[in-house]
Amino acid sequence: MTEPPPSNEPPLPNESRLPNDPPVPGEPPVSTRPQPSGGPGTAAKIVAGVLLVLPFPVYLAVPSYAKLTPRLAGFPFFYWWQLLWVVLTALCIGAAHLLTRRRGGAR
Amino acid sequence: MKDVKGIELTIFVFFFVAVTVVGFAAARWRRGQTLMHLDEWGLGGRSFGTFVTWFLLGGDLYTAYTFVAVPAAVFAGGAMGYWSVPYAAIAYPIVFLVGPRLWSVSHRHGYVTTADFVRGRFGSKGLGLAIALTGILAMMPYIALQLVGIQAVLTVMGVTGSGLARDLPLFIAFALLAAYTYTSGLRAPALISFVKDTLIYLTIIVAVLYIPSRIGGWGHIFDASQASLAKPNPATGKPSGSLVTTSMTHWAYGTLALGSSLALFIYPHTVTGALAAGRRDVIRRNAALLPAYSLVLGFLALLGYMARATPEVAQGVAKAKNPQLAVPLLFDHTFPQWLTGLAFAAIGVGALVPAAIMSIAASNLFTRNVYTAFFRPDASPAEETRVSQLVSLLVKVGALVFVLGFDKSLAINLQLLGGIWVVQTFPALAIGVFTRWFHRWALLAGWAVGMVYGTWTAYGTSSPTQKHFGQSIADIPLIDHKGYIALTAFVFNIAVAVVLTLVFRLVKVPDGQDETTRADYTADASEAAAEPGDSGRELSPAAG
Repeated sequence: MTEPPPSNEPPLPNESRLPNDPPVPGEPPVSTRPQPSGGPGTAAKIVAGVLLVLPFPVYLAVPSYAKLTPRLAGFPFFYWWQLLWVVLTALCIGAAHLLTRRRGGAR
Repeated sequence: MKDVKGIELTIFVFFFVAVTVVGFAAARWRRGQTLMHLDEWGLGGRSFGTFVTWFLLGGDLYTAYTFVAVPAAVFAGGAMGYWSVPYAAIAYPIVFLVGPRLWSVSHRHGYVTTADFVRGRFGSKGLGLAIALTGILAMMPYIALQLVGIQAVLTVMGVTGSGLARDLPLFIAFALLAAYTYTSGLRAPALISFVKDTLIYLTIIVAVLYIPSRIGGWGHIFDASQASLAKPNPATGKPSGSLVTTSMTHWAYGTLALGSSLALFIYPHTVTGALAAGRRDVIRRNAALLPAYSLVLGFLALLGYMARATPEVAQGVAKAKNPQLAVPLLFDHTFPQWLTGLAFAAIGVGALVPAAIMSIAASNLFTRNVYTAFFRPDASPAEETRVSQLVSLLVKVGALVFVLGFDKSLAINLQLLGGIWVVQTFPALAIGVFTRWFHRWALLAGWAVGMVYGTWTAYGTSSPTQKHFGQSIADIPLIDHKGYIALTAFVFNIAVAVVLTLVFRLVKVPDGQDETTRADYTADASEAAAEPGDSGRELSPAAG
């Protein structure tokens, strides 16, 4: 397996653990939470967060794509739209990865 | 045993034997100092790179569920069965968020299981036990689903009979699986997954290109399926389904996708595969690379329509009253025999790989979080490994109970039942890698409420063939729609956990000790492991 050598990560800040992290019940805190120094830029993290959240509304808005037309190569809209978004979801995650890498891996 | 298909069966058996040899030989692959350590037997030495992990997790997540159960659901219900595509897409942003943090903290503290992490994070062996038992329970129907997959291809190859003769081939397959899992541990499925995925990709590419051209193109496949789905089903008198979801099924579709996506990464077998990775980046990259399999799943699901659009296949399925046969019968009908044999081998091996990983994951949970945690706190690594090996055999027996005792007419329900349980560990596990805000006893109470509600509601659902556990969707309270029980139970779970956390904080119920530090969640392989119980340990800045 040829793998690139482990990325040279800058030293992580030595923090003492906070006894109670800020309460974020019900949902995993997404990138908008400010991270201490050493992490990727805030803008990059917000963009990465948006990219990671984006596929959820797309897929969960079921009525928006529950239709037969327009067809593509014989595929009703319902099917090609969802298949297309599998690829787009992968691209979103890939982009989020590139935006937040090399800095202790962000989150 | 009449009408046995010779060429198909020969190729199928050939690959089964080949895979068995690979399984036993895997013990020597990337060999560590000893196999008698859970890091070695149970996690393959924690050293896999992006490439191996992609195959391993691909083999782990895309199972007989993908090749048999999902197309069967599409065959039987049309668009309603397609929800696994959004599921297999939106699961990966969650993997990307949760996976690297869980990997890092497990690497630093030597956690082997999800319950190890929860125990360490919340300082509660009891909560760890709840997580472990849920994981073990959820693995059983999922392993059973793999057996159903193997059974389906055996049936179509003519390996049938009555009583013991009917189930014997299945027992032999599982005995072999049990034997090489016992000796080689996680290395066996890791190595076999290369064989499996090569076969799968070959089969699916041929199927997606070749079958539509044989039966009149994609347009015809969809049109014919639409016409066929609209005909009233003799059992219920209503149409079987439709080509797109309707106002009756939008909610079910969305909640099944979302509920299942919450479950994907916290299933014990997923975590086992992920913790075998050698570096943090491996998980992050795989979150972006694994959807390649989801795309394959999206096309495989459409094999259900190809089966429906082929009258001979549709009749065969109706005659056998088993939608699980849709894909095997389709291959049998349209492919030359040798290719059918190859495709069946792909399905069979595709069921063995996850079954092996699932049994390893369940036995690791038992060993670490029941046996060592409660009975033998000073068990040596070798003893732990021995116990895990033995339990991996027992787990397979447990799965057989599910196969014999549950309705197989829609095998997908087996996986969905597992999902109902495993989602209840999401707050402690997946939210737990981000925040320790929840109180440990509140998490335990929320888990209990979710488990009881989910199990009770699922018990109360019936299907035309089964009185209990017949479906995985039920009415959502206060909303006039049906939805995936797992998600409803999860909402109750979270609500209870939030309210009780506030109450416990108010009356100052003692909180557990957190043995992890904030930096543990972003650590990479180059950074030294933390000493057990050594909280607040400093990271060496020079590491790497």
